[in-house]
Amino acid sequence: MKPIFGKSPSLGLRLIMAVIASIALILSDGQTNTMIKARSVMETAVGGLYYLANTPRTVLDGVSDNLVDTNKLQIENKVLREQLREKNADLLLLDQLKVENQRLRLLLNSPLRTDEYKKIAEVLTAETDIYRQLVVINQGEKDGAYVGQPVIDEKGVVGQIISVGNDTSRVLLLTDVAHSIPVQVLRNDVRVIASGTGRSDELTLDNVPRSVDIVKGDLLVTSGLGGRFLEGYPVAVVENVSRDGKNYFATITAKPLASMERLRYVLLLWPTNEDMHKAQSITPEEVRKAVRQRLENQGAEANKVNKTPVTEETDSQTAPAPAEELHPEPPAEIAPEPVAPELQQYREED
Amino acid sequence: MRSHFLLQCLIVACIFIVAMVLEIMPWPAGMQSFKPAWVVLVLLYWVLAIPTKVSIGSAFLLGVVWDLVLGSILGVHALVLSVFAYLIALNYLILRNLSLWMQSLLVILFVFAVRLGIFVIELLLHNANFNSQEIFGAIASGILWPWVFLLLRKIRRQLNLR
Repeated sequence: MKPIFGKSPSLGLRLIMAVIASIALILSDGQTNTMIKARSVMETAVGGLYYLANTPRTVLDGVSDNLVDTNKLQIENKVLREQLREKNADLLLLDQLKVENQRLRLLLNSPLRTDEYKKIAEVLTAETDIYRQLVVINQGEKDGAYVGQPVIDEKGVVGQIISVGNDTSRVLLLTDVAHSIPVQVLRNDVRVIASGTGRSDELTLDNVPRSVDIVKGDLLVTSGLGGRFLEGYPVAVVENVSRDGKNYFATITAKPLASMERLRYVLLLWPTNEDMHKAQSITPEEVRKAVRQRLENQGAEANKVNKTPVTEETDSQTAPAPAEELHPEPPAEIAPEPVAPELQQYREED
Repeated sequence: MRSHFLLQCLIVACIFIVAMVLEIMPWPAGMQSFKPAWVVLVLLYWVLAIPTKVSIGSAFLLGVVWDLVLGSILGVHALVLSVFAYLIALNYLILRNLSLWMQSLLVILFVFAVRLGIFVIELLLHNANFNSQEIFGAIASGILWPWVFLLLRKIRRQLNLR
C-alpha cells in the first residue's frame, strides 16, 4: 500500500514552516504564563544533561580528594582551625552588635531585621549562551528555589534566579545586559541603579547626575528597594567616575565583588515572609499613616534626628536617616515628608 | 526490521545528546574562544550523510533543545540551525563529493556563519557585543571535522544506515 504522504513536503516548504515556528517561539517565549510553565517543564527534561556534563569534574574532584597526602591535610586542618577560631571571635562581637542594632532600631521605630534562611548551591555549568551571563545551579523547585530568589556568594551579590526546573535552576548574573539592581552607596546612602554590561567584571550606574557625591572606591550595597534583594549586601566597588562636561550624567563603572568567572559555590537566600509580604502589600496611604504615627511618637526626638531625603526619588520615596548617620551635614533639599523605611521596599525593580 | 530501525534512531539521538553534553562541558577559561561547535559538526555530518532522514525538522528540534540547554530565548538557535540544514540539504551532493580538507575549510566558514547568525538575532532581541575570537572556535571546528567525519562514518556503516 502506498502511504498517504509518500513524498514528504519539499525542502523549501519545510524551511518556511521551521522559520515560522522559530519566529513564533522567539516572539512568544516568556510572554504568557503557559509558555513560562511549558519552558519550566522542558527545562526539567533537559536538566539531566547538566549533571551528565558535570560528571568528569565530579569524578576528577573525587580522585584528587582521595590522593591528597596526610601531611597536607594536617596543615590544612590546622589553618582551618585557626581561621575558625578567629571567625568565632568575630561572631561573638557580631552577636552583640546585632542585639545592639535591634535595640537602636526599636528606638527609631524601624522594622526589626530578622535573619534569613540560607542554603549552599553548586554551580553546574557556566557554559551557556555566550551573549548572556547565566549559570545553572543544582537547586531546583524540589529544594524550594523560586523565580526571583536572590543569590549571593561569600563576597557579594551574584544575581537572581530567573527560571526553575525540578532539580536545577538558572541564575541571571548581575553583569548580564538585562539585569539591573537597586543599590546605595554605603558611605552616604545615595541611591542608584547598577546595570550589567555583558562583561563579567563591569557594572554601570545609570542616570547619575554629575553633582552626586560618588567617588572611586565607594562600596555599593543593596538598598532593598523592589523587595527582591535584601538590604545591606555588598554588590560592587566603584572603579571609575568620569564627569564629562558634555554630558548631563556622570559615567560611572563599578566592579562586582563576586568573581563572576570563578563561581563554584553560591548561597541561596530565603527572605523572611514578613519582608516579602510588606513589599507587596503596602500602599502609599498606609505608609503616610505610619509615618504620621511615628512622628507623633518620636515627638521632640524627631527634631534632633537628621532626616536625609534621597534626592532622585519620586515624591514620597524618601527615608529618614538613621541616627548613627556618620555625615551629619544637611542635605541639599528637604523633602516634604519623610517616609517609613518599609517604603524602601516599595519599588518595582527592573 | 522494525527494532533495527528503532536502534538506528536511538543511536543517532544518542550521538546528538553526546554533542550537546560536549557543548556545555566545562572548558578552560583562557581557551573559551577555541571551543568547537560540536552540535553544528554533528548535525552537518548527518544532514550530509542521510539528508532524507535528518534535515530541517530534526535541525529545528535540535535547535529548540539547544536553546533550552543554553537558556537563551527559545527559537534563536532553532531558526539558525533550520536555515543551516536547509542550505546543506540543498547542496549535499556537491558537498559530499568534495575532498575532506576542502570540506574542513568550508566547515570553518559554516560554523562562523552559524555563530554570526546567532549573534545577529541576539543583537535584534537585546544588546550584544560580537566577540571576534569566534573565528578561532570556527577554525578549531574545521580542524576537528575530518575526525568527526571519519568517526561518525564508521558508526553509520556499522549501523548500516542509508
